[in-house]
Amino acid sequence: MAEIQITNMSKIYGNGMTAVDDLTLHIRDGEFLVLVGPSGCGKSTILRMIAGLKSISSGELRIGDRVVNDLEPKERDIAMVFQSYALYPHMTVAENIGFPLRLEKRSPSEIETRVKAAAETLELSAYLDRKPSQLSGGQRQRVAMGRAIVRQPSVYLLDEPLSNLDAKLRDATRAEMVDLQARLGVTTVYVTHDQVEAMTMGDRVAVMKDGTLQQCAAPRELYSRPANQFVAGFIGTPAMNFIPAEIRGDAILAGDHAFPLPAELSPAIGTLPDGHVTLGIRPEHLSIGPDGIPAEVVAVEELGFEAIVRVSFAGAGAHDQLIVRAGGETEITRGETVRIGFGEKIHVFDANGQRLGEMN
Amino acid sequence: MNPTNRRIRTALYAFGIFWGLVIVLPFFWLATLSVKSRLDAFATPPKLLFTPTFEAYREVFTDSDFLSAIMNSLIVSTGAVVLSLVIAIPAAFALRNLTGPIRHNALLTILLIRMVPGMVYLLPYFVIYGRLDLIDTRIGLIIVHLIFNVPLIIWMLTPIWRAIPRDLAEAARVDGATPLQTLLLVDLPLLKGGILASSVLAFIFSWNEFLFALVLTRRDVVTLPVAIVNFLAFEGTEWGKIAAASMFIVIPAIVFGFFVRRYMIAGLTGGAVKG
Repeated sequence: MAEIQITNMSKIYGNGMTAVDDLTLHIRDGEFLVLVGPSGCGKSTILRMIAGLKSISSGELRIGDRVVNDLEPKERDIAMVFQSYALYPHMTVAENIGFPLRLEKRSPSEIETRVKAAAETLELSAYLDRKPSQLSGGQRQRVAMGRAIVRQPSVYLLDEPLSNLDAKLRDATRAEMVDLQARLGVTTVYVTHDQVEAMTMGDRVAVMKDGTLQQCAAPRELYSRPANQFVAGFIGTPAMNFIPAEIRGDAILAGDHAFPLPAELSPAIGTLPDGHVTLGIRPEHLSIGPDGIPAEVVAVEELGFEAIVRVSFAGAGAHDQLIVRAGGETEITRGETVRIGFGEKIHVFDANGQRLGEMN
Repeated sequence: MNPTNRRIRTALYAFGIFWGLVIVLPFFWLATLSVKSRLDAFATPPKLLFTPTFEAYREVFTDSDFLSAIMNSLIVSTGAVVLSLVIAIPAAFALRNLTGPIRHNALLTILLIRMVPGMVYLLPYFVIYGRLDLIDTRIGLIIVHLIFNVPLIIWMLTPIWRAIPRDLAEAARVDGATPLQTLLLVDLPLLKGGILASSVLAFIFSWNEFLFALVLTRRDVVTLPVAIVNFLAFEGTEWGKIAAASMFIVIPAIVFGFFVRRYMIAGLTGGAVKG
């Protein structure tokens, strides 16, 4: 068991490109931490730096009580699962799972016992003599997991391990992996580009963009108090609506609509140079009802239990459409005019995208 | 099947048969010649029905010069293949990991070495070997064969190696393997087919190689192709023995070709390693 302490860690390539910029992150012992972000955000680079597959340009990386910057992967007491699973095609399932133990020069009987135990945990016992090519995608994924857990390392590093599975299997495996991690209690760093995976699996989620950590928080916190506009837009499906707005005296003006400026926001807003802000409203915080601003329904995605409704205000351009999450019982058709209520929670971001606060 | 397809098919078969004859007929002639008596050998018109005799084979395999030539060819070819692998496998490994212009230029240079006619190397090697006392030595011949075999093996292995996902080497590293262990336990087993295929081609090249063997050897290290020429003796050409010896030379190519056919195709087409 170990915690991971990353301090001011950077990765700068020879051509001057900064892949990871001054990352400081503390991953607690036994925690399931998810690194999430769009492709190219540096999340996989961070994982590979923790694994020891990529060198650290500057900063410090600690696993447990050791600085591991210059240690080989095998000296770091970690195990990694690759997106491609990276199973050795010429070895059987048992040989694949037992490979790390074989390299540690364990006795054949110990290897056999531990491989069998790992296979049992992952329900692979029936396939131990098969080659990876004779397995389904889900089974291959489990073999890759087996190779990781058989070593009983103090940290698991998982690089998009579910992205090669079909949607249904992915949902099931997601739950299995969370359950497995909770049972084993091993510190886990999990990389994904899928925010649903991030939200459902992580104890905490670290959102990355362009090599910089945007926010690291528990899923609920990330959703309800996003640190900036990027996190707000990245987390949540359908995405948060953003509306440009302006501060005029005691009111926030968005188009023709004026909101009273809450008192607790005044200090933050007072520091703004020009009073331009962006309002962020989650689709479920907009309502369709008897009161509100009239808008035309542009599209309806009916999901049964709810409907995702896209609306456009009179005179607004196509990019000014808002997305509203409506209950499944309301009948809404394309082209009809509805009234949109801005009742609930509205986030306010400054011109740089930093969150100033919220209005309720 | 529509008529166009049938015509194309017919044409392809006709070409295939023609091509087969071009290759098989000389071989057939050689095979019959090797089992004909001297009298039957050059009868006009050629005798299709004759009493086979293995006299030529008996003579060839009791000829001590020919037996030592077999030994020389075996040692030189095997030695050339083994030494080529020792050089080419690490080279292919390096080329696999290199990227950009260095790799491209290195591969091209290696190919050029292979493409230069052997004649160009012959004279310098003859002079150098004279000074180093390497003329008429097996090691001398083995070294010369490296010029041709090392590039061949590198060129065959590099693309196959590149087709092996890099994740495997990284996974092995995380699993605790040293670079050497990764090479031995992960890469080489997956390259088995390519190594086998390129080794066979290199062996056959060395086995058949004539020019260097002729010029760089005298009496001690005569190889099979040169030994056959020696049957063109002062007292007259011994066609039966030439035919029998030639049949023997062809055997390894056929045997190897047959057994490693599967790997040959995999090796030559490259990227045949399934992940």
